[in-house]
Amino acid sequence: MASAGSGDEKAAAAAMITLISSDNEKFEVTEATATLSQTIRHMIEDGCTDGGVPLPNVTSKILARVIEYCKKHATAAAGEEGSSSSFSDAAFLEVDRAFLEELEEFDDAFLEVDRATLFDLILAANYLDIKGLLNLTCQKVADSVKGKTPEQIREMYNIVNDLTPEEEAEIRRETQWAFE
Amino acid sequence: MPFRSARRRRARRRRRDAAAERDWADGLGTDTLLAIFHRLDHIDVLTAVDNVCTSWRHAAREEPTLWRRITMRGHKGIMRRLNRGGLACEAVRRAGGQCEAFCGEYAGDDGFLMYLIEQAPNLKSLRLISCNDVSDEGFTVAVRELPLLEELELSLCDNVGGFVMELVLSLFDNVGSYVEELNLSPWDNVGGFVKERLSVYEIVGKACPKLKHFRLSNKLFDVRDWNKDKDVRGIATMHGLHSLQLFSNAVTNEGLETILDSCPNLECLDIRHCFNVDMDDALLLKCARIETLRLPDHPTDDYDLEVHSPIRMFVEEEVICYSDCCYNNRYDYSSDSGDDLDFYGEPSRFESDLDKYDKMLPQSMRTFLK
Repeated sequence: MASAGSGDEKAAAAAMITLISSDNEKFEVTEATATLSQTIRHMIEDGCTDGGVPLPNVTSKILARVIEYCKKHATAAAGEEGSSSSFSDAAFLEVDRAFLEELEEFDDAFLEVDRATLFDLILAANYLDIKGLLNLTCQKVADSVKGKTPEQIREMYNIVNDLTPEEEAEIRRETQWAFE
Repeated sequence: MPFRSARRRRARRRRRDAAAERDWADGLGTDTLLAIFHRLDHIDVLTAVDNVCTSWRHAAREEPTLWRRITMRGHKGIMRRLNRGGLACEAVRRAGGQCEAFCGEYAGDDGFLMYLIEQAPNLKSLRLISCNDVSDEGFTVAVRELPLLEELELSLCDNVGGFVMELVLSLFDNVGSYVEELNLSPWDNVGGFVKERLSVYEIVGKACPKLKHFRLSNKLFDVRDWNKDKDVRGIATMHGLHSLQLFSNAVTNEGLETILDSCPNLECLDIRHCFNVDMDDALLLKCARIETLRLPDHPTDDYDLEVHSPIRMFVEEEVICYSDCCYNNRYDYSSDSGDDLDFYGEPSRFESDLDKYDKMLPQSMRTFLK
């Protein structure tokens, strides 16, 4: 994994950013890690990150997870860039595949969380505008909903059925009509 | 012991979950809900998500963006509900005229296509998979109204791919050369039909000048298809193609060369299971410009539809036919369509099935003789 190493070195040379969670915990991260978040990227571009970036919507528990995700993916992204020139095509593909597999494993393990954490991760990914993380977490919810009935979904996510009697009647009508 | 502690851990986790419950109904906001729904098959949205709660229902109904690219796959069991019941139409309706892509497996019949062209005049991608209730006639009417189409797939649609009788006059003069070019059998000339008929793919070529991707997947390759290059003339009119997938097609070297000559922009060609193609030096030379090339023998492990064993040996299969004729789906289908011919009585249908009919006649007669 020589390319991953070179990515790390490159990242280490870059500036550090301090992120401050809603419960006032401080996290030091590299710029490469932080800029996976478009929100933070814009802040850096605007030059308003001195003294740390306050993130009042994200708790320290969730921020730690988000940073874990960003670190891994920033390394992978840097590794891909670094390796493209220094390997022959076949070797590059090999490294590329190993990277992707490792990343996939990481993502799978990363998603092994309870529903409340998943919910918070989605909100954080949305707020911080981290596309990859938002995709990953939304996909997890979508996969859990696939092929389920409305009742099963309500039970799974503790959702109260607040449909009006008119809507319920409409659904019944539609269902009846749709079933021939 | 570890088992029990695992159970305790789970129980503890459940309690914690209950304490820190999140509001999945209203807490995420419409945009995030849509990001989730975008990852679902639209059947799941129509039948389940729609009826969960008010905010989910709102996101599923009132946001045309969710329906811009519609995917309905793998719902054979509710085929009638999708078509006659109108679920496919409901999906297109919700797009509010913005639908750009429709991909339906078992979802789509002629009636649906008529609704689609009315509601989605800007359609760029149409993928029909196993839509056996779509006919040549319905399909050609629809495709003429979809001039912006860039991607078209017709996979396992057994009733599309024949010939229709329209637009005859403009072609009248060229017919002689077509007959020679394609080496059509005398059957095609019966009653002068050949002078009037047009392959549905030819109509696509004319109606959809922007078409870049075309996929035509047959169920299985059968060496006994004797009208081997019947799709070639039509595909050769799709001059703007960038990618072409012909799976299990009976196309020959000659046919493929015609296509390659007619589609100068072709970058991606997949002819897996087209076993009438013999990749000789001449053909390889012609394919040199193709960036992504999948040849007849290439592996099919990444193929997204079911792969059936090809019928490559003529003699071997004949033996099977004698013993197994009634139970073989292929023959059921073919002899069925043979029966239908009497009822339809439409020359175009007769024409399109003629080669099959001719080939199957001895088979069905054998069944009756037994």
